[in-house]
Amino acid sequence: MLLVLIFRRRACSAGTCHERTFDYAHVALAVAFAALVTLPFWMPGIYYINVSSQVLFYAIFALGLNILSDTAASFRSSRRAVRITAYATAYLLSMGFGHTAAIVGALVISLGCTAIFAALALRATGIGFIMITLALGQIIWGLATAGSASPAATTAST
Amino acid sequence: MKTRPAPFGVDLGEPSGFYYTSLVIFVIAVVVVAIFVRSPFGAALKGTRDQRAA
Repeated sequence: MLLVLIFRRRACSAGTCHERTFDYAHVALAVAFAALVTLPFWMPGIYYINVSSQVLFYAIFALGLNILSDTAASFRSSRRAVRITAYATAYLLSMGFGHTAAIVGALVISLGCTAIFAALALRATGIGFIMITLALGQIIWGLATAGSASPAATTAST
Repeated sequence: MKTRPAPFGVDLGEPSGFYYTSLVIFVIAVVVVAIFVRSPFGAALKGTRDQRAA
């Protein structure tokens, strides 16, 4: 229940309540931020602290999705960018790079891939754009799961 | 076997350390997005959203 309340307040801070100009909104933001900062002290257990960390991950994810889907691009292309970054991080880590090198390298790879994909996909509009982004997403998924025998590789993704 | 990294000496194996690291990154992300949206480029993106071609 508390988590739901916090999540709502945070979703509010992520941009949806920007248009409102109550003083109230600022007070609510300050209260929510104070609650977030002191969260490990009043949460009843380690489990809830870890769940709160995951809520924060999804909040960051939602921020990026909000920017991408609200402005120009589609959900699919923004999700694909996140997925390329995740794949690249895991791949670089498995190749023996350190964490910092893997994170920075994955960001560079993801940026390069999305630049190439954008050059291809943004030439089309409407259904053509959707089909091209779908095809590129399937290529990425196929490349990333090629040679993998895990059950996840046999289920359709995107 | 990889272990969790310890950025700036914060032990990420400990739940509250991990939580505070994610909170710091979250706050940085919110600030960056706010700056981005208020920038001229953000205004341009809003313009393309509000006036979509066809």
